[in-house]
Amino acid sequence: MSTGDGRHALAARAELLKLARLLNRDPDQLSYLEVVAADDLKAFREQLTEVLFASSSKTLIRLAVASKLLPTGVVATIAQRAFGPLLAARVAGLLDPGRAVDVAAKLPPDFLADVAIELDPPPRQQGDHRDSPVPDPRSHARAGGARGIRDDGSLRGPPPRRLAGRGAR
Amino acid sequence: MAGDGRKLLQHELGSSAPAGLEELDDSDLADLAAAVRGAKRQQAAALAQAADRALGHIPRLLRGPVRAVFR
Repeated sequence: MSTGDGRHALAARAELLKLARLLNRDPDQLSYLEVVAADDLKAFREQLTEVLFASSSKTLIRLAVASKLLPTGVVATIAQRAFGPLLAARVAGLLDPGRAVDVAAKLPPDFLADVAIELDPPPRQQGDHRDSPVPDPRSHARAGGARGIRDDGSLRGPPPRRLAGRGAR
Repeated sequence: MAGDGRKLLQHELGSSAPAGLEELDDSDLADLAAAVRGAKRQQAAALAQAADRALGHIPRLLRGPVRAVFR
């Protein structure tokens, strides 16, 4: 196998793992996708992200609106105790970036690292969130490493099995 | 029936899947459509449950205005 083939196979495997996370399936259950090119898998994942967002957009938008009525400390508590990382990431994409920064500042690095795994691709986010507070980058790096996230944000190894509810842990 | 899986997936996505996926067997496309449908349902259920749990963390005075957003 040439270097290019190996790189392509790795890219396809990474996309398959990300798709499995989105679909809440074990990657082995989607093994028939192994014959699909990485670019097509990536396009499908992005399409699926949009579809999932659109399917709950009404509720997500209402949650984001409701969050504006609450102090950021309460929003941070709700994010951790009621929503969990996946849903918090979905709603975070709709928050005003400044507001999202204020909420993020009240969340522990461990939780932020879990949210980072679930964040939508850049087109979905309002603003690029580069202003998000990182009080101690080393603590985020440690938290990320413990979750199998590489420095470039890609996943390391198989994804954790998702609980059926996908809500708070 | 041949082509049903493709139609099911197109229905769930609201548009055609990328060309590379169209080459899959019809049964695989049907499975993928079922997975997409399941993911939508799970997300909707998880959001509803999370919203209910969230109310318990909201100060009483603010619960009315927050509920009003969902009416």
